Amino acid sequence: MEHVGEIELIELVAGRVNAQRKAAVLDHIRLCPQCREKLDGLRKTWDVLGAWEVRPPEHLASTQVPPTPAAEKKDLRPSVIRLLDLGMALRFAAAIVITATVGYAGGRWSSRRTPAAGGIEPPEYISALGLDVADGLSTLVLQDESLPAEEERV
Amino acid sequence: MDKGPSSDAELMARVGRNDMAALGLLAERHRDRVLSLAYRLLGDWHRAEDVAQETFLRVRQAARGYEPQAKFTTWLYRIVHNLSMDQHRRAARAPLPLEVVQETEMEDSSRHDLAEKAELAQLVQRAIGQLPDRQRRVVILHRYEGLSHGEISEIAGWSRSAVESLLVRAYENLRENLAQHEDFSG
Repeated sequence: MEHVGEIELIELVAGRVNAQRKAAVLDHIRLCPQCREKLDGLRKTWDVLGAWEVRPPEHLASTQVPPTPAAEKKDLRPSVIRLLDLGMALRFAAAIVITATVGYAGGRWSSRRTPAAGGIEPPEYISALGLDVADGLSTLVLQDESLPAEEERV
Repeated sequence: MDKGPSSDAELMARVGRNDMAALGLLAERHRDRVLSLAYRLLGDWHRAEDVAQETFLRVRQAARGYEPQAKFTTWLYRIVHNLSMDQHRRAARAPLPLEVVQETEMEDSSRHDLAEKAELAQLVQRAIGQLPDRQRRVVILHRYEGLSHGEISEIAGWSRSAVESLLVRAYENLRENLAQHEDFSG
């Protein structure tokens, strides 16, 4: 007498065996204590496993709708680009304009208050030589003229 | 399960044409089972929720090229299974939470029955959690999702004979583990 395979017993317990095969297996089981014992054990296991019921919590029920195309598009954009949403872009532009204006005005005000030569009076030899100082940055230093630091040391 | 006249394949075709209402119908139709499967595989509702959302996003992305060769649910569960396994690998394997008994069940049952039921559910969950990973997955897909050997094979990427062998060993291990419980042995 050939025993019923365990996988077939599992499927029998799961109710997934066709009627014809089910009848044949049950016929065998009536005559075979070994297979009957296995089937009983499997049936018990199957039933006890049913105790693990799972139902999604209610707060998850409304969160599963997939994103709309617009929302998804927005989510897929890189974060840098996302920062440039209209409001952010306007604020960013305003900040640039204000910074540039304040900087320009400050520069103008500062240049008006500062002497042309940056506070350094041209040496007398410049006029003695008949040279003209174009701006405060150019100062002629003669080769044989000692620097103030050297004079102090001497 | 069906909430409208359209089949899953028809809805997928509509999703492929950017019909978001069809995607909503698909999500509504399969959401609970997707969540439950992910939860059973991961043991955590928040991670299950992440998997469910990612699953429907993948469904949308794949809709244009989708060809209904197998059952839609087999294809869908393969996505859930793979995403859950990715999650599972990323996270350290934590003991499965024991949050089986729902509030609503408390109203219907006596405290004693409820305590027994909760205890049994915890026992089952723990027994399944103790199985080797592949046996655990195969039991979840077979016992709780009602899938055939062929479908499990397709979803998990194992041969049919491997699935059957895993099932036999898994149910045997569970029978041994659960036999210690008096409700089971009695």
